[in-house]
Amino acid sequence: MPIVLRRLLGFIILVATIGLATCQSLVKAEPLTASASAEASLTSRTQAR
Amino acid sequence: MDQFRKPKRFVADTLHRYSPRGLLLYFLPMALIPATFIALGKGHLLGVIVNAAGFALYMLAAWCLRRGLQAEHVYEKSRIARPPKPLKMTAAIIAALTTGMIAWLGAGRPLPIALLFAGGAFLGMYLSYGFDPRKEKNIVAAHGYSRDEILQTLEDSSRIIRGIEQANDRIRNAELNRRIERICEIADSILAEIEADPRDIRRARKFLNVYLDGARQVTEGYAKTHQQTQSEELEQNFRNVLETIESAFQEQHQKLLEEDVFDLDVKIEVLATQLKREGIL
Repeated sequence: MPIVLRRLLGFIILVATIGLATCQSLVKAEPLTASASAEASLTSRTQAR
Repeated sequence: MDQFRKPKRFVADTLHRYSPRGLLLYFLPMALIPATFIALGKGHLLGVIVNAAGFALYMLAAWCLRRGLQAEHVYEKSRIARPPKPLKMTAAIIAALTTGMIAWLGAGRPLPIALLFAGGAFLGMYLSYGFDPRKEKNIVAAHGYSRDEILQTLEDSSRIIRGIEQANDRIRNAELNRRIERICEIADSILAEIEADPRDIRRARKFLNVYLDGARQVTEGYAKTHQQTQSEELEQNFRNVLETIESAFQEQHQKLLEEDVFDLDVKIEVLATQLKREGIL
């Protein structure tokens, strides 16, 4: 495999694995605003019923 | 053989500092910084520990990777070298374990998926940066000197040349600076000659021991003294010594190129006497 292609593939895999793992860790720490507010409204409706 | 006879700078101490390779690992885990503070704000102790430790481990891996790449650069440029410490491998292992830990404990993925993340990071590190060279660039022992002795002599000599360059930086005289730079260039060429053909070490050993160290002592001595006192006589003495050193270095280099069997012992004695007379040795 040519060295440039190998490095490109390595770069993509690195960004995919480390980037995904760290971003998912961030998302878990702070749930997305839209989904968090939807979850909160669903909880309040359930409680109202 | 011709390409081995070209003068070349001995590179044992020069590091490839400004290459951008390996910087990616410093930037990829940046998301862990806000993740740590958010976890802190929410009072999630495990989240704080995992994200902060993960960030620190990625920084450690990036540092190891950069050092490994620098060591590999020096190894590739040198004709004689020991294999470098396995820093790139260490970086790959740290990055893989950290990625697995972040995916498992930070992102809450199941363990088998976290292991896949770890494997992916290890593969990515290998494909991007490779592993450390393991093969020794061997040389045969020459004229009773072992490989380690030759390598040690070259490294010590290179360090002395870098010492001369540092002392030169403290001297505020353009003409003397140029002379010292020329001396360092010739000395580097001589080391490159020895590196190319270690049999030369027998003839060059006295040069390395006496001349090179003498040049360092005289340069460091002048750099220290001329800051305290400006003396025409001192400057002229220093100039005379530099001229002698430069011509001796050139002669030594020429003799190595010509593979002349005549040693420079007599010349070395003359220089040693001059250095003593000038009050330098």
